[in-house]
Formats: sequence, structure tokens, C-alpha cells
Amino acid sequence: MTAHSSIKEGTPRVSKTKAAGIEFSAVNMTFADGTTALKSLDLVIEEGEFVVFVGPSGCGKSTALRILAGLEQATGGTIAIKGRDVTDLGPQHRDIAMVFQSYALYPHKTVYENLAYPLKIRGLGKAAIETAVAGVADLLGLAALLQRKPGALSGGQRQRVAMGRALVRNPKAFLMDEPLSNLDAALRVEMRGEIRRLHRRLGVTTVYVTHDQVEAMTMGDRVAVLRGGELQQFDAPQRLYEQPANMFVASFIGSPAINLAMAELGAGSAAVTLAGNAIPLPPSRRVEGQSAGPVMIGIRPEAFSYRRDLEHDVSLTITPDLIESLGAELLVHFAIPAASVPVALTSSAKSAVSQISLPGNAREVSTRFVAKLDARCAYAVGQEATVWFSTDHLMLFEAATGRTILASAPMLKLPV
Amino acid sequence: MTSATLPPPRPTRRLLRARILTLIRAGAALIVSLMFFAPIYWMVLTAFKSGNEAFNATPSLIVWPDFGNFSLVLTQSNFGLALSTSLFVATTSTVFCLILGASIAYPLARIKMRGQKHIAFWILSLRIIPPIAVIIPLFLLLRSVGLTGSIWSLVIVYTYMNLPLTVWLLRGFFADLPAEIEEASFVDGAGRFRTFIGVTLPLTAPGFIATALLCFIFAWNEFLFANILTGAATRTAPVGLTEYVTPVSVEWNKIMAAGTLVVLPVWIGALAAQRYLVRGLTLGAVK
Amino acid sequence: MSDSISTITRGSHHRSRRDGWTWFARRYGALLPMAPGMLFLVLMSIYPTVYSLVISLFRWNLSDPTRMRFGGWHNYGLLLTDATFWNAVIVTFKFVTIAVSLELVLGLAIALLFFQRFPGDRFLRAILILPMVVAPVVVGLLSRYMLNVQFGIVTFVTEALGFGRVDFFGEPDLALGTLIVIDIWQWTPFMFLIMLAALQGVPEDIIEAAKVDGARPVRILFDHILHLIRYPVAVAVALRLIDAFRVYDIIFMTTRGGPIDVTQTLSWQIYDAGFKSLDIGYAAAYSWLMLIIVVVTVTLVLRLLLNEQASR
Ligand SMILES: Nc1ncnc2c1ncn2[C@@H]1O[C@H](COP(=O)(O)OP(=O)(O)OP(=O)(O)O)[C@@H](O)[C@H]1O
Ligand SMILES: [Mg+2]
Repeated sequence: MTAHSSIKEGTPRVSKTKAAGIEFSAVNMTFADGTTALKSLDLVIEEGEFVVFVGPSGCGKSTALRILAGLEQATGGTIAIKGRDVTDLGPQHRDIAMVFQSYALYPHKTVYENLAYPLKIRGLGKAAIETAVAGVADLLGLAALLQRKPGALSGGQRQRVAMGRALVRNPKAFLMDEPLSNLDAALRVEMRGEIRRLHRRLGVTTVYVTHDQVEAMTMGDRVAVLRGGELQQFDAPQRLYEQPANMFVASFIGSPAINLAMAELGAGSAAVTLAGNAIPLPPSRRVEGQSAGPVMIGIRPEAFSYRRDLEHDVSLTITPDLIESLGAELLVHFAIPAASVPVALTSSAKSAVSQISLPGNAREVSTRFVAKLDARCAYAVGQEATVWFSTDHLMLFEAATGRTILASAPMLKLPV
Repeated sequence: MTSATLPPPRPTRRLLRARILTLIRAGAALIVSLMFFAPIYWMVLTAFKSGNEAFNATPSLIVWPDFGNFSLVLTQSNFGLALSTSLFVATTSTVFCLILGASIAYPLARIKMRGQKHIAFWILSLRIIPPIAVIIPLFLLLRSVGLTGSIWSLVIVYTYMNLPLTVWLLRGFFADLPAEIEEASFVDGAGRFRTFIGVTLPLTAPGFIATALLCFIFAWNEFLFANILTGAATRTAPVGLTEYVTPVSVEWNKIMAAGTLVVLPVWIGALAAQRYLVRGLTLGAVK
Repeated sequence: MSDSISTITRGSHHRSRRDGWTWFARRYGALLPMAPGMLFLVLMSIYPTVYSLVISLFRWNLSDPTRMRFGGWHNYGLLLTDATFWNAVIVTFKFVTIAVSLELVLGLAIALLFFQRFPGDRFLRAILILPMVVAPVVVGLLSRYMLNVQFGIVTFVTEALGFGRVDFFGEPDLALGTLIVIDIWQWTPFMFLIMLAALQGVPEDIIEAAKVDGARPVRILFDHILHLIRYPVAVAVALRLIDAFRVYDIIFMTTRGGPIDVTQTLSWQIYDAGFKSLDIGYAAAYSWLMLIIVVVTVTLVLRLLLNEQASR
């Protein structure tokens, strides 16, 4: 079933440059109740790529996936799979396989029948079905469970059956909607690796939906970050981390979240002033044509160090008010006397937390920061200390829009 | 809000197809509903017709509403009395049902004990016995205590008839209520009875109302027992209806008016209980 | 609080009679409210069943109540060799099986129409459930009026269509069918409601998974939906069977068992024997046979509907 379908004539919306696995063109989705779930989504997924859709709850990831599957009909735009415009086709005719969050196993059929079903629908012979099911069962370690019904399986086993049902028939694409969210943490990490290995082995274009940024970063060849139905950025994980398109992406990717505060950009962008400290920017870090005025500054917790070295040459004096140990590292929390960034421009969940952690005295302007420091620093709560960082790791965002003005210089190590 | 700024979406072909299909389904559903509604329409229509119109060989589909038949039915015969008898019997038996039913259903739902399931299923099994099969012994029993001809005989029979339904429905509603809510009340120092009155009852009130409506409907519509157990002065509405049909004169417009009066309260009740109708009609088996 | 503590300490020292009583009250006191209702149910169910079992063994006609002779299985023997009994069995089964199966199919079909929402569906659903709660007596009267050979609206229609005047209740070939159609009119809405609830209970993701797996609507219906609604279907069919066996009111209002004996159902004949012939020993035996028939039928149908699922 190597269905490299020929590009049909008269289907103009196909990118001719490289074999596009999946292509969203100006896809809009407004539900009957007026909810707009997707706004003009444009996205080209390459053949064989593993792409993750990520974003906060309600951002439209599932909707995008369901439109791709044909389970939901977009109110505008077109979808192409392997060069074929499938906008007007039902899910039956798109030749895609999907793993549902709830697994959606057929409860009245045995594991064998569940796995065999897609093949039976396609009219395969009994022998061919048996071979295919046996192959998948071996691959996923389901051989001993074939005669059981889904009701008699554990969560992890069900998840495997759901994967198996998708794998059994060589589809044009795999779609997965939070397939691991019902598993416990250890199993989730294990399956994460397993899905990646399967993908490498089969090479089938995969779209994977999750709200978990760690899952997105670790699994995706490229990650599409969605917010409120709009695509924010579509890039490799490392680039999302280092060069976020805007403050939302910066705040969504990374854990603990990036530290954000209001700051002031000096004339000619020679310096940026954070909480009264002027931080001079070397020429390589100056922003061309950016007028002086308020900006938002971002520094990742990992960018801080407890000692000065070549890569950490700007100091900040802090008073830790909470220290959490991660073993090799400490999360050192402190407040700096700078205004917080507008909540509307960050990923909502995290800003809500930072609001809760504001001190009781509301008039005092302050913002919470976290530094991830080597455990050797031996800092203590309430004792003044110095942390170091580099202007290479500073990010600046436009005050009004949150658009990135200055991204961090590349080559920062990934967080765990 | 934001959608206003977007260009109007172009419906795709598949969306159009789905819309046409929906239209076809809606049309078919409309036709089917009208077919089931037609006899009802005809009844209500006839109730507003004059005597001649009712017998007209070429029927008229629309008439000028004339409430004359209704007032005649209610004033010129015993039918008004029959309606009030029905109201009394149905209401009283419903109240008894709820009291007895709740006092069985609550322990069944809440207290762990052996044989609980057996009791519940025994109660359910009573539903399978055809009334005709027990009517003679019941009749003889009620006659031996001198209750035949009294409305209380009907109250007793209807309470019995509806009790299995009540127990099963209320048991389901009680079971749906998380035990933690009651346990919180115990911890706060209230006893079982106090908790039942103050916490359980208000929270299961919709279930009680739905159950009551169903009990009322079944008692109100019942005919077999009513026909046998009532005397001339204690007829219920369904029995009263049969008396309109005499070989001498059949005044269909009045019969239909009386029929409409019998059916109307039940329709209102059924529509009010619509959300719980499935649950009630299947004794809680399908929600 | 203090009460329970004292109970425990006292109990650990010596078990007195009073402790046994508190233990009993603690354990079963909460069941006490059940007593009146259970007593009522037991009295009202056990008494008639035992009584009717006893009198079914007697030759006893109320027209001469003093003459009550033990007859053993006499009444049962009489019945099982009586052609009218077997006729009633056949009539009842025809009525029950045809009516209930058509109601099931129609109810499911209509429920499929309503499965996906459309504007106005709530209103139509409200209209559709009306027949089900119309008192059977009213249904009987209404059908008599509409089917009246002289001026009934149905007669008007059959004449207009060129069938002439049809006496639906008077024709031996049509009477039972007419009753079945009336039953279908009244009870298809019941099936519809339950089937709709059943369909809505089918998890949407299963249907979606089937779509993604490539199944077309008809396949999804037969491969999945019909299996997944087995339990509600079984409940609905069982309840409908139980009620259809009881059919009485409508017959009372329309055919009264006629013409000849084509609508003589079991219920009707029991009523006839008990309240017209006053042959209550015979009627009681009849009741028992009917109860057995109903229980056996319902059990078999439930087996059929539910066990097939287990074996799959
Ligand atoms: N059938 C529907 N009708 C109306 N609105 C809907 C429907 N399905 C989804 N929405 C809305 O569309 C938006 C996007 O929903 P979607 O399910 O795609 O979010 P999501 O990104 O998958 O979120 P989550 O992480 O919670 O699954 C939400 O605001 C949601 O309320
Ligand atoms: Mg989702």
C-alpha cells in the first residue's frame, strides 16, 4: 500500500516545491454556536514528518486535527493530504488513521477484532488480515491479549490497542489527539519514546496533539504552537525555545517558565533598564531601528548562573524568598521591583499563577522571577545574593504586541 | 465578536451536502411527527365542532373554536365529577407512592446489606404480573373489607401498581447523589433523618417530581381496575368516558371534548417530565 | 459520639442482652422505614397470587358461590384442551410479536432521523411523545370515531382513494391488524424515545473511530451502534412485551373480542370468564397460564437479545 498518489491536475493548492504530506490552506473554523476555533490556519507538513500541535486548552488543536481527519468540516479553506485535495471528503475516504484520547476501542469486539476492523472494512481477505494483525500484535506486544475485550485491559494495554488499530493499515498519516494523557507519568514517558521509535521505523507523516509542552519539545520534528485559533509559530523545538516568535511562545515553551518583566529600552538600544539597573547591550545585540521606550524583557531561568564567567557577565542582586531543590539544581525564587507584563500577551495559565503569587501589598510594583542555579551555590532564603546572566540570553518583546524584537543568541542548552 | 472581522466563510461542498441531508432528515421527521400527531389533531378539532360538523361525511380540517362542547361536558353530565374523582385518586395514590416508595428506596440505595439486590429485583418482578391476572383475588379481597365501590379501593390498587416503579426510580435518583454530600452532613452533626430531610430530599427533588408525574399519569389513565372497582358515584374519568357511548346517541363532538379533557393534564405532565421520561418509562434502566 | 464510645467499651466487658439489642438496632434500624411499604407490597402481591393459585384448583362459579368443589388440575386440563384458549394464545402472540417488532423497527428508524440535531427537533420530539400518554380508553374512542364506516375521516380517505368503505373493526380479516396499527401508533413513540436515548448514549468517539477506520454509515449502524444499544433495546422490548400482553382497554372500547373470535386475547378471555361467566376458578387457572406464558416469553426474548452479545 505505498500510495504515493499522483498529484491530480486541476488541484492548484498544492505546493510544488517539496512533497507535502499535509497542507492546511487558510482553514477557518467557526462552530454553529459562533465559537471561532481556527482563524486562517496555513501549515505545510512535510511527508514523513512528526509534527506536534501544542497550545493551551481551547486553542483549537483538537479542532485542527479533527478537520484534518474529516470529522469536522471547516467553514473555509482547504486541506490536502499527499497532494490530494480532501476538503470535501469524509473521514472514510481520507485514508488516515487516528488514535483518540479516549482510545475509542470498540467495546463489543475483541482486541483481535478491533485490530482487524479497518482491514475488514477495506475488504481484505481473512489470511491477509490475520497476518497483518499478528504483525502489529507482535510489534506492540499484544499477542497474548488478542481474545480479550477492551473492558478487560489496563489503560496502557488499551492505549497499545488503539495504536495498533492505527498502525495495522499503512495509512497516509497518523493523527493522535493527546494519546498519552490517560496514562500515568512513567508509562507516558515510556510510550513517548516508543511512539517516536515507531515513527522512525515506519516513516509515516504524524500529527500529534498535546497540551504538554515537554511532550511537544521532546517528540516533534517541528512543533506548531497555537493560541486562540491562531498559529503562533511553526518551528523545530530548539528554535521555539531560542527564537520564539513572540512573548506567548516564549512563555509557553520551557519549564519553569521564562521570567518576564517590563523594562525600558535606551536610545539606540544601547542599553535596557530593568528595575533601575541599566544593562548595556553589546553591538551584536542591538536592535536596528527600534525606538527607545518601554519593552518587555525575558530571561529564561536556565540563563542564570551563581558565578561570573565568560558567558555570565551581567549581575543582578537578589534576595531569594523561596528555594526549591531539584537535586543537582535549585529553583531560586525572588522578586524584582519591575512591573509585570500584560497577562493577555502570555500563556494564560502561567500568568494566572504569577498573579496569585504577588505579595499582598498591591501598590508595590514587583514581579516574580525564578533562577535555575547549580546546587553548589548554597544560597539561603532572605540572604542577599548575586546571580549572573549574559545579554546573549536576553530576549526583548515589543510592549504593545508581544512580538519578539530580540531573541536570544542560538546555542543554549535544552532544559531537561 | 472576532468572527465579524473575518470574511464570510465560503461553505464547502461537503458542508452544503451535510446541510441538504439535514434538511431531508428534518423534512422526514416533520412528516413522521405529523402522522403521529394527526389523530390527536383530529380529536381536538372535533371537540370544537358542532354536532353536525362531527358527522359530516366531508370532513372540515379547520373549525372556528367553540368551547361549547367543553362546558356542556363539564356541566350537563357527571363527567365533571368523574374528573375530580380521577384527580383525587391519582393525586392521593401518588402521594402514598412517594412516601412508601422513598422509605423503601432510600435504605435500598444507601445501606449496605446482603439480599439488597434480591429485594430490589423482587419488587421489579411485580411489574411483570398482568393486572388481569390478579384482579379477581384483589376484587374479592377488597370486597371482603367492604372497599369495592369506594375510591379508596382505587387509591390502594394504584399505589400498589405504581410502587415498584417509584421504588426503582427513586432508588436510582438516590444512588446518583454522591454519598459524600450526605456524609458531610453526618460529620456536621446531623442524623440520618435530618440529613434526609435537609440534604437528600432537596437535592433529589427533580427526581421526586418526575416520579410523581409518572405515577400520576399511570393512575389517571388506568381503566381496568377503575371499571371494576368503582360504583356509579365513584367513576374515574376514563370510566366516565365509556358512558358517553350509548347505542342510542353517540355525540362524538362531546366525546372528543371529554377525551381532550382527560388527555390534556397528562400531556402537560408528560411534557414537563420530558427530561426524565425515558428514565421513568424504563424504570431507571435507560437514562 | 459519646454514645458510640460507651457502647464499644461496655460491649468489650460483657455482652449483655441489651448490647445484642443495640447491635441489632444499629445494624438494621436504618431498614425500619422500609417496613410499611414492604408489608404493603407483600400483602398486595402474595395474597392475590396465593389466593388465585388456590381457587384455580377449585370449581367455583360466583353465580352459585356456595358450591365450591376441589377440582385439582381440572381447570387447567379444561383450558389446555379448549380450542378457544389456544385461539387466544395465537391471537395474543400475533398481536404482541407483530406490534412490538414493528414498534421497535419504526422507533429505531425515527430515532435515527432525530439522532443528529436539526432546527426544531425538540418541538417535533415533544409532539411525537404525545400519543404514548393518551389514555387507552381515549385511544379506543378516537379510533372508533376516525374509523367509523359512515362518517369517519379514514373512511373519507379510503373512499377518495377508491377502496370504498372499509369496516376496519368489523372485518374479521382486518380487526386484529387494525388493533395492531393502533398499538403501533400509540407505542412507537415509546420505542422512539428509548432508542433515541440509547443512540445518544453511544460514545461519539466510537462512531468517529469507525469513520476514520473507513466504515460508511450503514456499516457503522450494523457493526457498532446496534451492538452498543443492545441493553436499552432489551429493556424496551421487555417492557413493551409485558404491556402488550395486557392489551385490554382498547379491545374493550372497540372490538370486544370480535368479530367472531379474531381479537380474543388472553386478557380479554380472562375478563370474560371472571366477570361475565363469573367462573372464577377457571379464570384463576387462566390467569396462571397467562402469567407463565408472559414470564417465559419475556425471559426467552431477553435471553435472545442479551446472550447473543455475550457470545460475540
Ligand atoms: N462542537 C463544538 N461546538 C462549539 N464549540 C466548540 C466545539 N468543539 C470545540 N469548540 C470550541 O472550539 C475551541 C477549540 O476547541 P478544541 O477542542 O480544538 O481545543 P483544544 O485545543 O483541543 O483544547 P484541549 O486542550 O482542552 O483539548 C474551544 O473554545 C471550544 O470550546
Ligand atoms: Mg483537545
